[in-house]
Amino acid sequence: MRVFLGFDLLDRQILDSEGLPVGNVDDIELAVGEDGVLSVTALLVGAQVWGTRLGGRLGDTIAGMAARMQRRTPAGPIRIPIDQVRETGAAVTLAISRDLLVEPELETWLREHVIVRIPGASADPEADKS
Amino acid sequence: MNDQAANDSVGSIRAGDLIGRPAYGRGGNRLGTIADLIVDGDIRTGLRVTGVVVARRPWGRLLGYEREQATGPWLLQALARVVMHRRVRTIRWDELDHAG
Repeated sequence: MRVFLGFDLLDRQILDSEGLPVGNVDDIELAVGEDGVLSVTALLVGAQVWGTRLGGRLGDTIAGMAARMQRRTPAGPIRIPIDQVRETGAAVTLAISRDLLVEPELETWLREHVIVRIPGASADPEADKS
Repeated sequence: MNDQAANDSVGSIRAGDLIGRPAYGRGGNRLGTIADLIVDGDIRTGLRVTGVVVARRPWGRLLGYEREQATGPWLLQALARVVMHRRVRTIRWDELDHAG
């Protein structure tokens, strides 16, 4: 199988094993093997990674904001090992559930500060009445 | 799985660090700008970088028409081939100078 990393993987949507969205492929981690050949080791997800790849003043701003929002330790992008990928196509499908992955900070922040204020946003209808 | 949300592993590089960088041949001659990385293999046995797509100009990518499996309107394909012949080349990884 021949894959063009930029065209076939970067910026593609990632779906988990049940078809639920995980995020986008914001960058791809490569490592030098013992034979000196570069191989794909992981997909990287997160606004910080994307900002760094974008570069320039806008990219630096996005990466800086994302870095400040990071609360988990150790800090860094969400790293999905390549052997957890089931197939690539219009989207990248994982062999695992997204529950096993760390939630991106931006989504956590949006849920806690924006989504929760929208009437009817709760999964529990009774909770919205109170 | 959460422990895998850690930092990049030691000695790793990102595809985004390579794409957009100048590519040089073994003789030190500048070939152009890396527009894409080509990997071969499969997910189980490993995806190894075997080559790069080099464009004379940063925007010389042309919608992925350099891929053999590309399909699309014949007019666009023909136009892309004519333009790409002058601007886009595929270079094997071992033909590159990796010092940079």
